[in-house]
Amino acid sequence: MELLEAKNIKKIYTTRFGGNQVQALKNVSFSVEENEYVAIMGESGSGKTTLLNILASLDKPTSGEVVLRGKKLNAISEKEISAFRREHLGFVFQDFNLLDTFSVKDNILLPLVLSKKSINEMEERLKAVASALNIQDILNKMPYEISGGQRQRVAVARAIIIKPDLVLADEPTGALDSRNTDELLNLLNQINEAGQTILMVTHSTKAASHAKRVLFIKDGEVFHQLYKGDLTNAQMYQKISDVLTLLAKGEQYE
Amino acid sequence: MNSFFYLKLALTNLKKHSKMVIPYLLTSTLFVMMFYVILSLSNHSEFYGRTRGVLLAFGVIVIAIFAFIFLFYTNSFIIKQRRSELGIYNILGMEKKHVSLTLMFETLIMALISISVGILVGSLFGQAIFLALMKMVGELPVMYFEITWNSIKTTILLFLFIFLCTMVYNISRIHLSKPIDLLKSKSEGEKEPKAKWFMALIGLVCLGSGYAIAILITNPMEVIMLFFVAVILVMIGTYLLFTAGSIALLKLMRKNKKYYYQTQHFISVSNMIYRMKQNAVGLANICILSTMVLVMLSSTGSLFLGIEDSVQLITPKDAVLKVGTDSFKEMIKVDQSMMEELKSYDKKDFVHNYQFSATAALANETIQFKNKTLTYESDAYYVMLVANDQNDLKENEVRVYFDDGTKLETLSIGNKNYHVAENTSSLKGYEERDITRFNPGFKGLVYVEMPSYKDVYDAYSSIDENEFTYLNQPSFNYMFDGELSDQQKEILRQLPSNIMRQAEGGYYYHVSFQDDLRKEQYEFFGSFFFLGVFLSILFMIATTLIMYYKQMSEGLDDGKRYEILQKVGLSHEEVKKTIHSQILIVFFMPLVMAGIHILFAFNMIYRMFEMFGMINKLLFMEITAGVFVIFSFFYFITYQCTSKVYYQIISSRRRT
Ligand SMILES: Nc1ncnc2c1ncn2[C@@H]1O[C@H](COP(=O)(O)OP(=O)(O)OP(=O)(O)O)[C@@H](O)[C@H]1O
Ligand SMILES: [Mg+2]
Repeated sequence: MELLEAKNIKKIYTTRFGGNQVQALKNVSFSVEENEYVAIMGESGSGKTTLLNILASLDKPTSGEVVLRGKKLNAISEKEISAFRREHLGFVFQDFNLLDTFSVKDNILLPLVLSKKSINEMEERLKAVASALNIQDILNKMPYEISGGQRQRVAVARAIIIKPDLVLADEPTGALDSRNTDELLNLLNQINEAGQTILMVTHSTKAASHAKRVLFIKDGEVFHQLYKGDLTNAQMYQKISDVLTLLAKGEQYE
Repeated sequence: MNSFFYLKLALTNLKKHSKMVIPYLLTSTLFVMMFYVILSLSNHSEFYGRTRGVLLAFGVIVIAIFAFIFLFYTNSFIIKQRRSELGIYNILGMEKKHVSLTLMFETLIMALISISVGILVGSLFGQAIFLALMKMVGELPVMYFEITWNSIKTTILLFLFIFLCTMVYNISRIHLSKPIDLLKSKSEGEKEPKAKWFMALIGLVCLGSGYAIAILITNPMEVIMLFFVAVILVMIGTYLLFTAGSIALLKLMRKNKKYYYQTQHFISVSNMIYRMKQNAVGLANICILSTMVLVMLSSTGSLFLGIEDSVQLITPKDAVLKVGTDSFKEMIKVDQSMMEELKSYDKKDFVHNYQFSATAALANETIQFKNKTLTYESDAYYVMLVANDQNDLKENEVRVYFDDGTKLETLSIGNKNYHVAENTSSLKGYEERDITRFNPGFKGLVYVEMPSYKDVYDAYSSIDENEFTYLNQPSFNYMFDGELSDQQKEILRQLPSNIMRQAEGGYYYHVSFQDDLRKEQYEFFGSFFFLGVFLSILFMIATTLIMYYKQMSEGLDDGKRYEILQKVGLSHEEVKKTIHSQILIVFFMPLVMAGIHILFAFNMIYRMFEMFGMINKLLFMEITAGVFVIFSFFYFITYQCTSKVYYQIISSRRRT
């Protein structure tokens, strides 16, 4: 079943004084099935973060629409969208967006508190996520006291603790070393196997090779997509690399 | 690069930070104006070197000190906000010297604007303010505001000095800090405040003992001595409770998991912990300033509006003459001459009696003039013994009045026993309210009408004067209403000494006229009230500015937080609710605290008033309540306006 569909998304940023206009997305259409694992790749500034923001309705497209489980996002009230974000969506932000007033623990618990879960349930889930992400030891620290990689894992923990139907992850491995990257990717695979849908933006070919499908974005449009099918991670890695090479050359890939 | 470049950069900076700079500029201009006006008034030919000018001169000093502290404080706030910007200049290769030069130009520009505009506006409005002062102190021969070079010069010098100090402070901050420190933004990397339990406890103790002093001390002398102790204690308590106490309390709330992990509390409590760290001092300042405004307005207002009461108390009639000599024999002679001389005057409601008053104990139907045994004034009765020449009392008979309703059969005074002819509930020649005025904190008031002058004198003679702390010597009183010319007043003033000069032994007298006293009181309490209003306006401006900056800095910090919260799924509505309840608590905390301070201070201030002769408690109560209502209204308006700034900043960050 279709979970999410983006139809002809276009996004033009107008700078504050109205002078310059930046076209971040020209015409993006694609859909995500229930329980899919999609990676999005594209060079820096190609509009990936913008796209994720629009999918999460944190930002509005200039034109085009996003359909979520058959409902148009722009027709849903702000309240419902908030509820959706709270209960069905986990967003790992590129810049983490941790709250400096909360301890690591409280940052992770935030979505649970917002959706009014019981304290016991909070504690249980916290334990599970923290050990999966290897952050048990820093739970009582404040965000400014931990490293970039730790912050990223905290951000992931916050996103997955509610067991969301849809995880939107913006470069979740960007600040991690290779061991932690592997662990996180495995975790995402587990989550996906457990039935959650994942949409991950990444620059890392390795990370993308874990996904079931890879979308390539260039010049504000979907340029190409790859299905993993029965390929192994290594085979997938090779295929992605090929596409990226072509992308860099700027040729059309048929 | 020449200095013109830095001047231009300074101007650009000021423009860029107009949201911070303009309120600062406005405030400093108002301060210049107010200082200049009050200085001109105190230098005014009708005020300088006179009693009515003393208070104004005091006001000049208060405003100068306050302006210094306050402008310095707000300046340091602004420079803190701009730290990272200045750090970037430095990192981009501008020498510290040049950053300093820019800062110098900025300060000079602001000084130039606020001093010149302040003096100009002050000169324009001076006349209006002068007329307002005149309304309060009464008519004066010179009726116009005087603009003098002297006042202008002092104003310029003072404020140049203040601006110079802020400049030196800013420049020293630049020179003392490493660029990396400058770059760090305010909130990032800010440690979570520790709960200082000990400090919070001390704060509680200070506040409690301050309040205890205010309620428990009733003796007027002790009140005066301890008032400032109480004020200091309450101030320390306020600062400690706002800074340490609030954080300790919030941490306690956070420890309670059931409470803490609820959406509203979760966000508010953690946010407030940080907020209090940055703003506790600001809030305490607002609280103290509000309390000062409330106390100043209500007390100077009450004294001013209570003038008529105290005039009536001291001189119940248009003319009041009191004479007394050491010997009783001389006394009777003096009285006869006095009566003779007063014959020619047109006297309405003439009161003529012989009396003295003292504090005493009352036990076993005996009045004992032994004050040493009375440790507290509140244990003592205030006793007035009176005789006049036309009473209906037989020998050994007295008429008594107790304001607490005590009734007696007999009464011993001195060594004599009297039969009580009547226990009256109302006093001849006094209205009920007049009587209660005599009772500033005694156990009760006793009024004894005696059959003859001699009885009064004998009672007086029985007193061992060494025993006494509170005693009015016996005197003949002559009080009457009637128009008196200046010439007649002069004659009456001389009359007692002319008559008693020939008397043997020592003598004493007092002559007062109601309209003269009234004029004096209006001059003093009028300028007092004026000063109260003037300083209140100043403090209110300061309060507004603190609120404004508080909202601004919080808006900048909180904006980012609420943006994240929304991204995680807090709805617009909930955000609004959270923000609103939080602001409300933070804002109205100082006002509520100030209200509590006033409640406790009320009695103590009233005790001090009694010494000024202002004893209309109801009036004071009404005025205090009125002032509080008006002030709260003003406070609310300020809150509304400044929180608009906050919402603007917050929503400008919001995407959805
Ligand atoms: N709020 C904004 N206002 C104006 N322009 C923006 C804004 N956000 C992004 N842009 C511009 O839109 C384009 C796409 O930005 P986006 O953040 O989506 O890129 P990205 O693909 O996520 O890049 P990266 O891989 O570096 O994170 C960029 O050119 C960027 O400058
Ligand atoms: Mg991005």
